[in-house]
Amino acid sequence: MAQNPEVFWLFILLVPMIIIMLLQYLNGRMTLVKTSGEWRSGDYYDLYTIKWFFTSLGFLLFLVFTVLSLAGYPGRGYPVGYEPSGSDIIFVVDVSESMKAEDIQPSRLAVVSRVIRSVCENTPGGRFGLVIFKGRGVKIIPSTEDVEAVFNFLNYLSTDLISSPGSNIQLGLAAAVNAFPSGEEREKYIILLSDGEALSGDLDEVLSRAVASEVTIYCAGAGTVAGAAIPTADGGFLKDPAGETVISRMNEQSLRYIADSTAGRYYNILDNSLLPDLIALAGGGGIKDTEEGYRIVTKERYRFFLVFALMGLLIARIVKVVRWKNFY
Amino acid sequence: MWIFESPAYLLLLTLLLPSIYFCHFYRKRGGVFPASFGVWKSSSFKSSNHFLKFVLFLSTTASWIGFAGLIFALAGPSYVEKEKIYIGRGIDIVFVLDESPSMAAMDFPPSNRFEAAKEVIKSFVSARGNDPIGLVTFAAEAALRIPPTLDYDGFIEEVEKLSLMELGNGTAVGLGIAIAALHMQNSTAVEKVIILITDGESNAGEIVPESAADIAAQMGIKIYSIGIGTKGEVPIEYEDKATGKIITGRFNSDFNEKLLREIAETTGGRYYYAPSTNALGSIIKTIDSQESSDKRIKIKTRSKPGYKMLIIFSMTLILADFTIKKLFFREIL
Repeated sequence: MAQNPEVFWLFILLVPMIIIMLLQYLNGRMTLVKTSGEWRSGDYYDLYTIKWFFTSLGFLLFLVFTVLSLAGYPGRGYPVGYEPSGSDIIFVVDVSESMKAEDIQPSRLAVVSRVIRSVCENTPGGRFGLVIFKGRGVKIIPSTEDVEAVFNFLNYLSTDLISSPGSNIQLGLAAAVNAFPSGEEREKYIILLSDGEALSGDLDEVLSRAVASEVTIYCAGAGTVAGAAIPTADGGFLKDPAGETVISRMNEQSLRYIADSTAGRYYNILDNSLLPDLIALAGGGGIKDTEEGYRIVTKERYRFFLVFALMGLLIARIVKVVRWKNFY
Repeated sequence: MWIFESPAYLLLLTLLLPSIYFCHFYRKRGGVFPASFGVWKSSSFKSSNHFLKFVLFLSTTASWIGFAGLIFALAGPSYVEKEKIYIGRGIDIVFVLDESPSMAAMDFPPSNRFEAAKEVIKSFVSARGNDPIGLVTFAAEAALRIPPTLDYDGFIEEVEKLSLMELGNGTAVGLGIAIAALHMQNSTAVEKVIILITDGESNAGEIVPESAADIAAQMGIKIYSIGIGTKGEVPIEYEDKATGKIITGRFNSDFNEKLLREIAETTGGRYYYAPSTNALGSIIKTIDSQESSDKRIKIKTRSKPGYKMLIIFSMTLILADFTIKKLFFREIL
């Protein structure tokens, strides 16, 4: 499977190229008659047609194989030395208003808090950090073994910690990607805990940064698809400008996309396998593609296609300038 | 640093000059035929339009640059970064910093004791490699500012934000030590160190410093205590948090040296006296050298392939040449 299938859109270029080549062929035949005379045109026509065909074919092959070289087909994997000394986990918590919804009891945010506490409590020696996001992303706890600092903060976890409205996932994940300390060989995981509703920001940009930084993102969706109203401080529920009660629904599509893009995994926050899996990750048990101190790494296979592209280009140029039958 | 992963492919560049000669300068090349527009055997038609000649030259040059670019892309240009990877776990260090009003004493030029302490903490952190470092501050209360972390950039940012008297105006040395010890209890570090920096007598907090030192000793935490400030009358200037007013004056500076020495000795650490900025810097350097951890490292290289941009650039040049020659110059082959 191509890693960058979006480059296949460049095949659209083939259409104008072929049109230009056909027009060039018709124009070429007329030009030959005008310049060489009707009486000699028969000899030129055949040679010109053959040369035009092969130069055009060579150029089209160049275009097709160049695009394929950009598509990022994975090559054969090879082992590289890799002995991680553990895992770093950064929790990224959505503190947007919708996290107050009570479609899971006692509330989405309270369940998120419980999950984080459980993972920290059950992973002695684990290293954790914590980022919250709403209209912006804020690193609250840097990567640390001090779980007391995490527990202290969880006591104050609320949707009021950031005043700017929204759910800017890009800023939240960017703060988390930057929160991993350098100078160590450890597995890097982000655990995103969110209802996935109305996420904003340039997701693809931050996901490509995560992949480049070898960060895997696991997502836990908090809430239900049926959704629930969002409680307000006055005891009522959040209403839209038309006076209708706003129903917040979990959107697992975006969370699945985030997890899949970084070779992570999506869970519903109430899924029984969530906690054991996260605890295994935090304890360094979630290492993928590794065996006996090695990790299998694959590189994109582009040279194979690029060699054919160059050969196509050479054919186009050589056929054009090689003199045939000593006159064209 | 840029490198080529497979530089052998660059040998293909040797084909470039013969190809250019064959395609553009070889007299018997095909694809062209001279047509005379004059009398018998006169020279063939040549354009005198210099602009057209220039555009044609640029277009052809771009095409060959694109061709060369594809060969460079074959050679696998990559940007290689080397990263230092520490093997083994460092020691945990937590600074416990006094932020009571007396730390505003102006006897540590160019600023006061508190700012001087912040600067030496920052320089200490910058010199460490793989030791998680945390920060607790105290005045009448104590609070964890940064848990022990290797995120040194984040640590330094937080240190820069610190200001005096955010936690009242007493000096709860015991509470500061206890908070630091609490946040080191889950640490897997073989060695744990507290560096206490204070200029006053303990006069606040629910935990007396001796008890806090005992707790730390039981947890295997070593305390280095540093008493800072000149003794005697010193000028002072600070902003009162409650009123926002700048308070200036002089006060008689002194601290309980015996207590600080006892705290250090109880935990197997050492007491230092820092009467000046330079002395404080030297003491921190001494502690830095005494508390050196396992510094075995390996170098990890990361390479970022750069061939994609080169292919896109080359393809653009070649397509531009194709389009210009076919549409603008109406080249028939």
